[in-house]
Amino acid sequence: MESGLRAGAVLALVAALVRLVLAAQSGGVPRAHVRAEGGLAPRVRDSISAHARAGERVTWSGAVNDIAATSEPVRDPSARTRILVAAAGGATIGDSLGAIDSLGAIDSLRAGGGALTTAGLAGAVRVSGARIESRPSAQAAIPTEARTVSRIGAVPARLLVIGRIGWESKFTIAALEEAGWVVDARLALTDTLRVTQGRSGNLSIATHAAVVVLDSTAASQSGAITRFVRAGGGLVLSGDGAATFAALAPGRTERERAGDRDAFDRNDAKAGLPFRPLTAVRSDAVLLEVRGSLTSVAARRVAAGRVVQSGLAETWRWRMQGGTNGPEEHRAYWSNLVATAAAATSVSTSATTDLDEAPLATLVDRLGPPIADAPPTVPPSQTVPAWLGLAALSLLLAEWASRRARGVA
Amino acid sequence: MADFIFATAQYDSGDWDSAPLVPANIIDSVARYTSIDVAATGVIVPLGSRDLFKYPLVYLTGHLPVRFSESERTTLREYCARGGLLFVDDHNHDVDGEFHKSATEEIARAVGPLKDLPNDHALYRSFFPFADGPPTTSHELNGWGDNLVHKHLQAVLRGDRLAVLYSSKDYSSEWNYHPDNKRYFSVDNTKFGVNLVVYALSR
Amino acid sequence: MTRETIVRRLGAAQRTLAFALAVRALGIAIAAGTAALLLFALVDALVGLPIGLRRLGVPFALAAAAAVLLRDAVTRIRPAFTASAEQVALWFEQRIPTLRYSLVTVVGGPSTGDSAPLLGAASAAPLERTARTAARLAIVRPLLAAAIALIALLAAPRGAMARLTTPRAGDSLDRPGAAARGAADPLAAIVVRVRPPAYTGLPEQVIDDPSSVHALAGGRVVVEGRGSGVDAQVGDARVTSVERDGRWQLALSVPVEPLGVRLKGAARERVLVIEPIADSVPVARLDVPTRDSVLRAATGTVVLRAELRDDHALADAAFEYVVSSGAGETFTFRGGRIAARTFPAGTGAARLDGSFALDTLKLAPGDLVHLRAVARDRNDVTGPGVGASETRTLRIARADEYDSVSVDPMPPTEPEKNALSQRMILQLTQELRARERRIGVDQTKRESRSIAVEQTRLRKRVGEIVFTRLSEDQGEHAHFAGDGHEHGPERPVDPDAVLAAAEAASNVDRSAALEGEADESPVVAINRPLLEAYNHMWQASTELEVGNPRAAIPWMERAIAALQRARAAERIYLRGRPPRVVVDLAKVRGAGRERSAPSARSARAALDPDREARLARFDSLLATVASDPLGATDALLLLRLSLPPDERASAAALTAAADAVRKGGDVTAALQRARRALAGPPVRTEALGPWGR
Repeated sequence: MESGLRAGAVLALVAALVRLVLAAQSGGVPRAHVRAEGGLAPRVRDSISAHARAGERVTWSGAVNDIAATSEPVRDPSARTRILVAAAGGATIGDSLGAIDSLGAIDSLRAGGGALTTAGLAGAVRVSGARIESRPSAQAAIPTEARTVSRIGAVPARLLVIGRIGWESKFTIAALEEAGWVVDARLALTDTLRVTQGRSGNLSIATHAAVVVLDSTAASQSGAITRFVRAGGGLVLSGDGAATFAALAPGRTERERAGDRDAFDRNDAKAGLPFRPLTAVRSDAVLLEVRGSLTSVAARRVAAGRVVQSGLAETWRWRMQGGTNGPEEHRAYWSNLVATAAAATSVSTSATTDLDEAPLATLVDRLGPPIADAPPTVPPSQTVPAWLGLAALSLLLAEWASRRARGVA
Repeated sequence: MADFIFATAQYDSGDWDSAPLVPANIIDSVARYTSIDVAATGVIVPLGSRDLFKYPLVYLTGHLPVRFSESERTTLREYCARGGLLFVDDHNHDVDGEFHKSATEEIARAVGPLKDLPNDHALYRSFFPFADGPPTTSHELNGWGDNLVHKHLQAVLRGDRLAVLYSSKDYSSEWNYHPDNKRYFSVDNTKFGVNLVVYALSR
Repeated sequence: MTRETIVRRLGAAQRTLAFALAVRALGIAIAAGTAALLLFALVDALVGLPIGLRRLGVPFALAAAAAVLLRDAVTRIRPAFTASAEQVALWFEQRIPTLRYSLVTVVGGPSTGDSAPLLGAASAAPLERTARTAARLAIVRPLLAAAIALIALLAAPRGAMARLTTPRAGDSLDRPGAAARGAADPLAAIVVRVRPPAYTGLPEQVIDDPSSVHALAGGRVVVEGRGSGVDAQVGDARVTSVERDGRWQLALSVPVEPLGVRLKGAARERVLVIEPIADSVPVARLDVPTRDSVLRAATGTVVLRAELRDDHALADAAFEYVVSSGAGETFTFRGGRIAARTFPAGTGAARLDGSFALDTLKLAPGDLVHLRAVARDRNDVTGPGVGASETRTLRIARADEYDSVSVDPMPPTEPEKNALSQRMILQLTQELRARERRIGVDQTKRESRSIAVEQTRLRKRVGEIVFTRLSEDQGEHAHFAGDGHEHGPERPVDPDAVLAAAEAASNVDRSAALEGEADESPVVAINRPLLEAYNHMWQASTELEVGNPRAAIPWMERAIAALQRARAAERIYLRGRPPRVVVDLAKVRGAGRERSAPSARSARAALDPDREARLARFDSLLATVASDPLGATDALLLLRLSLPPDERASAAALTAAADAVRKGGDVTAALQRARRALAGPPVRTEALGPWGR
């Protein structure tokens, strides 16, 4: 009997030891568990992650929809901000005055997300994801850079436009100037005569954001333009100008094709414009616009600069013959083309401290993935149950009492 | 398609075709002095038609009263707002004449009031220099029409750009001859037309 | 005393009591109504009720009084008047215990109350005195309450009561305490009176405490307030107010451009924006003649009719005509007015009728008559505004002109009277189509075929005209070989060619300019619409001949449209097609001898260079909305004045935001709208592009 009691005590002690070992292997019962339905405020999250880094075990659970947002200034004189959002169920974008607009549900994997371009943001931008399947939405807070940056770099947005005199050069320059760009122009009138505008000095990224080449008359300046691009400048190729800059261009242009004759009546002026499809597009080029299966706009980086090539022809008809918004659309088209190519500069950001551009991703990064169920709410002191210890002690006492009763030491 | 096509406006109320050789003459001059890809013939475009927007420079002349219809007025207003330039020349050379009175009224109603164009405007320097402003025509010097030499052209401006250019100097008579006959002139009297085309294409 | 006498005495007492109740009810009603009015006045004095609520004050008071009166009438007065003698007797029994029901018994009837003791007891009862006492007690307090209420009403400030009894815009300065408030801050509350120009006949408009005022250019704006020491800065000019009776007043003219007026008081400044409204010119619509015409002879009467309209007042109107005679380079002009008429003041719309005989104009072949209606308004400040209708042109055909479907034998006397009979054929066909179901298939076929005969007759006439033209000379601008012009190749024409051209013409793009194809003869080009009409008529008659009027109608409508174009084409091509000269570019390219010196191009201004600055100003004033709402209001108004003239939506949004900020409360929505209007709508892209920073 005394052996049995002794064996029972040993078993109880072994069981307690095993529990201890197992608890130690699993990290033990967490010291803190957080329910983060809809995400955590950045300060709370940072505070909890500090505990985790200090060695305490912290877990979290909760349904938080993925959302990520960021902003960038639009690189044209309009001082607008583009807010890019990835949120599966769509998102609402707002600032301190309230909601600005919303983006619909992004179903297409290819689309990846959506963007909102606007001016006049007040304060920090908040992006709220939509509720999906009754799960609450997260909020992303992103810095608003544009309000502190009104120009590209610290100089006016200056361009050089080269082409021959005609409606295309006239209305392209008009569109760019009306959009706020400062334009230097070189327009060929005869073999020897040009109509000029603006500065006549050397082309430099210190003075110009981009060069717009409308046709082959820029051939005499191809060397200077190539150096400009490699140094970080932008180049927009249109018309037959691409042939002169074949080494830089994203692709070659085919023969001109007619546009859709009825498109102007349908208020779809862009489709009515003739265009030269881009072919033999380089592998490092990015297709920006397509028309059916044909590429109409493409871009690529060349050294520090960027080159954008457009196959649309006679774009001036968009302004003159386009629908009610024809002039505005034509202006936006050219300004966007140039902004796409314009020289990148450092951009100052506002001192926003409460940033949280991707709430779920940051939470996982700091605290690990969420756990499916809440952990057992057992205090650490009860990791080894009291009854095991009591049982072991009782069995040992009983064994000692039995021996004493028999008169054995 | 050529870059530049000379267009003549056809309007309902009068003799829009009173100077049928002006287009060819100006086309000839543009080809002589520039490399502009100009079409060999001009076109005629109804003033009230959406086709007007295909030709951002349009020439209008006549002798008879000019009364725009509502569609012509609306089309012209939008045409000028988008960047088109209408060049109007009084073929009578008569500021008391019905063409002048009616055309200036219709232009004011459709686009805006005409004002004297300063003689140092960019139009007078766009290709050939005209230091004294608009060149005088032989009709002015011969005392035709109102027997006046008009020192200024008139214009409606959009910003500092011409939207409507109005002439009482009778360039329509001055330029209404076959271009082959230029060889008989010691001085080419169509140079100002080249200025107008270059201005329209570049400003 | 008999029973009857006692009953009569009861009746008199009853009437006394009932009238007393009526007086009592009246007194309570007066007190209630007056109290309600005083309550309104008190609330208005404390918070300043809007005019809409104040207009409810008197009706509310009357309603309260009427409610009380009605309640008493139903519950007390009517029962008092209609109570039975027994009920009245019981009432007295309650108040005169000594009666011991003798009165009730006597009144009860001859069978019960004819005994002498009962009669004696009842007769001796002091019915009249009891009734008078009760009546006095009933009416004293209510009358006292009514008197107190009326005294309070009379003692209330006159302005306070006037704001309720005769509420009107502009009485905010009469609010109780306005004088004291004005003494402390003369700009705390202002009233603006807008006086339109006298010619409009419009009444004065009064606006309480606005941020901006819309007024007709040339009118007057009078700004008033309580207190003193207020000046105004209007541009560079300073305007001093006129002060009288504790009020100040400034009079300003309404300019043609928006104007910001800085009102300067002792304690602070305040901005008032004056937004001018332009007086529209009159609208004239020429109803008759309905269309241009080419007439064979200059004879007959032309009927004229026009509808005229103005936003304020028409002054006069007339039909104007201009006759152009001549050809080539020599023209003469003469003109005049017909049916001139003046209108009395306040005429906003009118009809102008007139006529003239063509013979009186002594027109010759080739002459043109331009007709239009012209109206002037009474604007004697910035005008008068002149409005003109569309112009109709009447041309007298020349003797050698083509026989034309558009040449009319006489002036049109009714709309479309001399229109081609194609319209009549269409009308007949439409009527047949409407009756088709009723008359049956056979009858429909018969009638359809008879219409087909008319259609075929008309088609042949059109074909003859075209064929005749194609066979004739081209007119006064005929050219000959060696005349120095380039000509297109000439082609012979015959009836088969006409039919073939008709078929081809129907497929031509009608939106193209009337230039013609390179190898097309000018006459065919001019007559293309007629050829189209010819083809459409052929299709229509084919459908009619098989008894299908429904299918014929669309072809007839196309034929009518083509005939209209033919009419227009003939009018435009007055002298035939202009010569087409083709320049030999290769020969002349670069042959110019003159030297040129093109000048530099000057830059075009940005569309809205100040937009960014305005957004920055808006953002900076947002920070002051909570701490300095009045300052923020003025900043919003000044920002509104800096907008370009065509930014109307932004101007309205900023003015609304200024009003909201000044009035207080939650201004987020108003500021949001203003900021969105300034910034423009955001642009959405439902995809992330592959190209970024």
